[in-house]
Amino acid sequence: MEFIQKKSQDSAVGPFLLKAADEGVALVWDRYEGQLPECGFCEAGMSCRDCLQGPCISHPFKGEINKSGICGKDNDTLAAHSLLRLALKGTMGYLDQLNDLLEDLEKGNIEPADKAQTEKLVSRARDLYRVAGSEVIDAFPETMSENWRTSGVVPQGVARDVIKASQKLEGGIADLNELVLWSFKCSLLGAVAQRAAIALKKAVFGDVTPTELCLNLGCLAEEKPTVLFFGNVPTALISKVCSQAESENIEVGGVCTDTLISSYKISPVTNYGSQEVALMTGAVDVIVVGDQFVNPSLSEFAERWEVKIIKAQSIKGLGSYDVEASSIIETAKRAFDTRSNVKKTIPAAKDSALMGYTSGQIDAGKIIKALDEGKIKGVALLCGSNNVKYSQDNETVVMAEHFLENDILCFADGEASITLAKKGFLKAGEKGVCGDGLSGLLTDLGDDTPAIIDITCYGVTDLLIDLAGAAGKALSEYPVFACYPEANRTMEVTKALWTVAMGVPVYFWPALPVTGSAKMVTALSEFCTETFGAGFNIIARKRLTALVKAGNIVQEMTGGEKKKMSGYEWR
Amino acid sequence: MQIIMVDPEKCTGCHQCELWCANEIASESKDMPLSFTDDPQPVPRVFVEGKAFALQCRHCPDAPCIEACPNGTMRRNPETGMVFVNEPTCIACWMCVMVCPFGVINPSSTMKVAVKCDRCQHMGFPICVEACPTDALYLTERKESA
Amino acid sequence: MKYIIIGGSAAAISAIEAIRSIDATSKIDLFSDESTPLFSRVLLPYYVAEELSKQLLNFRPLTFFEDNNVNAHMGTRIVDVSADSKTVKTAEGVSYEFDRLLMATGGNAIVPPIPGIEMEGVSTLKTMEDAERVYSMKGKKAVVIGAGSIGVESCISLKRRGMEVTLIEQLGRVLPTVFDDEASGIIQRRMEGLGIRVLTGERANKFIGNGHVAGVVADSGEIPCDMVVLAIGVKPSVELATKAGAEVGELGGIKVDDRMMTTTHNIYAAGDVAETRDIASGSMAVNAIWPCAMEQGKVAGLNMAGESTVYPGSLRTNSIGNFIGQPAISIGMVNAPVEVAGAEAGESYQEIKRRSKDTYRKLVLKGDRIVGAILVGDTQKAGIMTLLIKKKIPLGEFVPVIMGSRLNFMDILPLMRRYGEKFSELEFKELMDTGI
Repeated sequence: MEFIQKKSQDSAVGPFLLKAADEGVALVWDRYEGQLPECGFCEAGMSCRDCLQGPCISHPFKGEINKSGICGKDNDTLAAHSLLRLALKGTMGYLDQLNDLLEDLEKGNIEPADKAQTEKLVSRARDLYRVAGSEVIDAFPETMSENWRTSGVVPQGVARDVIKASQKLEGGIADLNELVLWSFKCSLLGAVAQRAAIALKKAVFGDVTPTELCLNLGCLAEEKPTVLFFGNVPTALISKVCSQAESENIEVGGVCTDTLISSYKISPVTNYGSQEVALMTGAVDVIVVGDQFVNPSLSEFAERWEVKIIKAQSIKGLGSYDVEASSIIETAKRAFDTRSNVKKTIPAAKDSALMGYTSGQIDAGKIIKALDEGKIKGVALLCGSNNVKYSQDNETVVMAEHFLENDILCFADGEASITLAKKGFLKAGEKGVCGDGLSGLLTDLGDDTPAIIDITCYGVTDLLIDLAGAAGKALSEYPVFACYPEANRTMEVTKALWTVAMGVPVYFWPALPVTGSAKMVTALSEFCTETFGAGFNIIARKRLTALVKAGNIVQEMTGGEKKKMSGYEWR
Repeated sequence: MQIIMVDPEKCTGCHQCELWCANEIASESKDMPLSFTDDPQPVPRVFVEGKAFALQCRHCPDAPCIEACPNGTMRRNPETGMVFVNEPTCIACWMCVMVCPFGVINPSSTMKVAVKCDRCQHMGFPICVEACPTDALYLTERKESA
Repeated sequence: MKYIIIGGSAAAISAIEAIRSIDATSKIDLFSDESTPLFSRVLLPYYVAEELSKQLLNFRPLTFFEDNNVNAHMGTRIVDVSADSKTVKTAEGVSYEFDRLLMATGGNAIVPPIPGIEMEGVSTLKTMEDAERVYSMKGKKAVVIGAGSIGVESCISLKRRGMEVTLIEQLGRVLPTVFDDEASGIIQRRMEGLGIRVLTGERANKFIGNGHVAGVVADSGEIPCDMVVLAIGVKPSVELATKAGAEVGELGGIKVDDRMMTTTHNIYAAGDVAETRDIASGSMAVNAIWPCAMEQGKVAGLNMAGESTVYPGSLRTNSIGNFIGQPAISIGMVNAPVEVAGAEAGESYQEIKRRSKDTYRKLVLKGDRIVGAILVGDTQKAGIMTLLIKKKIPLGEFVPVIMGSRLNFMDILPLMRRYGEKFSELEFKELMDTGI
């Protein structure tokens, strides 16, 4: 089957697509087409492989006997389980990142900048593995934690939030709403883990302040050995490499990894969807890889372009990372020499972005005041990464533009930040297409404030806590929402779920694999709104353009009624 | 005449052909998974039952269903040779169901007509062949006998 | 070559198509006493129910005769046939010559000698004239006499038009020749659920009224009504056959050989008027149903045009479709007989039934092969039964598969392969033409 769509909106990527076609190398887009059509049952969450009696499907078009799995899971349960599996894996991703940090500290691999604070945070984080202490929840405003207590989703630690939650997949009799709540309970542990990790990073490595970063492929250096970090490589390792890199004249960059560690800058050379292209430039000598967000296909590209792969962790490893920073540096230098005859094609595309805002650098009070006064119409959290089902970066950029035009303050997190930075939305002081009200607020927040504010080092959770604190009431009473235009990984699903639990509605694409159950889709909006004050919006209709989606969101969040756009109603 | 054949070595019984058939031909929205909840429930025209093998109307050169139909609803397209149900005149008497030796006519109580593969007569290419993930379904020229 | 066809329904049209597939030029004349051409009698109850307009009753486009170069004399009754002079004569006295003649005259609705039957408001439902009469009757309370297919469908049609309906059947169950007690019971309950009053085991003894019918006196008492539909049955119209010297069989139909030719040379018969060998029972039968008429017409036509084709015998198949809200299909011999003439020695009958809340399946086996089947509710694979009965395929260990609710073609393919010699080469090729 064919899938006709422009593959990427990133102009730096375009020429490499042609090159890959010429050389007969398959990229994500080619492999996606090879997979088409994708299983309709699985896409709708109507399949299950949790046991060996299956695989089971719920067939929407045949008789009653084909509608439930062999053990009796009906299509509502199948959908709820499809979501729970994603939430579990996503939460484990956040726990893993926190754990790497804890291990480094335990082993003395790193000297914390603020010893006292670090010790306190470490002991609190350790609690997450059994029963989380109440201080963990006390940090959240009452307007949020009250809902969690009433519904039973207060995070209590790995034993209940991950292990017990996982057993719900194995059988048992539960009503749909309870199953939905388990996904939220699990995700909230992820929120707590991410908060703990961010706080620890600050205590260990020092504060981060808004910093000008170079990004996109043009930042790659032809004349120096270049090391790229991919995925969740332990921060301690990255920081050690960075500390040696300058004196050794090594270029350090990253894809889907930390961008700022205290004063160290790790240029994001591209984002998730085009990670293979980074290696095609020929300018990368060594890649150090983690797990989540890293495409296994990189090994093929590494071989083609003679790039050395260093895995941060392996099964027989010694700790949170197996290699010494110094050996990475050495490998890079050697590789640079042996690779001197490899052709280097570095595109001109090079952007700059102001990134690294954290708590304390953005005045939440001013934002709330602007909302109250109607100076801005809403607040959007743009999250997610890239998904090959959409033209790379297109959805995120188009929707962000529409929000900015409509005086909606935008924050960007993680990969979405990089996407928007590539299009100049994070340029210091530049307001671009922002409406008047919004421009005024941005200037008020700081002269340098870009059109969109990067909160990767801040964390979505902390930002929402600060906003709720400044508001003094539930965030669900404000037009604050999160938008995932091109979602992909399980960690994004988990983050979206905990955002909803905090009272902020989420708009998420592609639609979660729960669409085969009408009850589940309804529960995620209605039941969640009843429980948390906000819903997880599942829009199953596929042929909506980004602009239509953005328009609908703006209308819903600020206009009061669900409006019909292009003849299509939201579903 | 082009007929749909199945390679039994490649068919995994995954039911994708049934899903896409009903979605493309019988649903209003044609947008999976929205079509899952369409009313009337879309009815697939290809059957994956028993063995891993997708079976649909064979468009028999000597079709018993055309003979059994009391009002000429079941007819043959003179150009393509394909047998199809002229839905506006179908009275749901199920006489065609009664005589089809392959059992591939669906007496649909939701669509109120006899439902049968018509080789996607209004499309360029049969959707089941296109959707099959293992290429088990394929089109081939039927060898006409004398 | 001059062909004449008497009759204008299924068998006649099918014969024309068969003749024209071989012989595109010879003259064909068709004579039908119906003025309305090309309508399907099976659908008359749907017309009465106002669910189908007259145009939708056509089973071929109205240009059929023109397209097939047939001289159609609609509304022309043939009153005499002479085998010696090879001519037919119309009611107007005009004679026509033939080389081959097909008598597809169908049957006449039985009009029983019940006192009062000539009153207004009483009608059979066989011809278009009948249908229009019933359609325009202004009654509110209807009585239908006879619970055959036409009777049952008439009840439902009239009920749909808002009338109060009572059904009287002489035998002990509705559709007595089509279903068994169990299936008939299910259908009767459905009908009663629709509000139709069903009286079985009763006769209509008298009609009362003053010029226009006002009531029917049945065994259990008087039923007030203002219209009556007679659906007692049809008798093959063999008057012309007798005139032509063709023999009439014991069951009242015209005797034909296995090439559909009557005992008079060059005169053929097909359809409701013909008496053929029933595949299921092995005895002679008049299987007056649409698919048989089409098949017989085709075989007669092919033989008339010179292509020798054997008719394998007729198989009675009836289907109640979506009309009643629950499909029901009956094939062949659905009640195992106590004893039957002509049965092979040493083969015993067996009935296998499976009843669930909404479905009923029954097989009648003779020895190792199916001779009859009833499917109520779960009818989608009925065609597989028809095939097994028609080809007389021994079932062996496949009985549970066939009785099961997961019956499908692929599961019985091995059985068909095993008995491949029972199919003609062309038929077998078609069955295997799936990719295996």
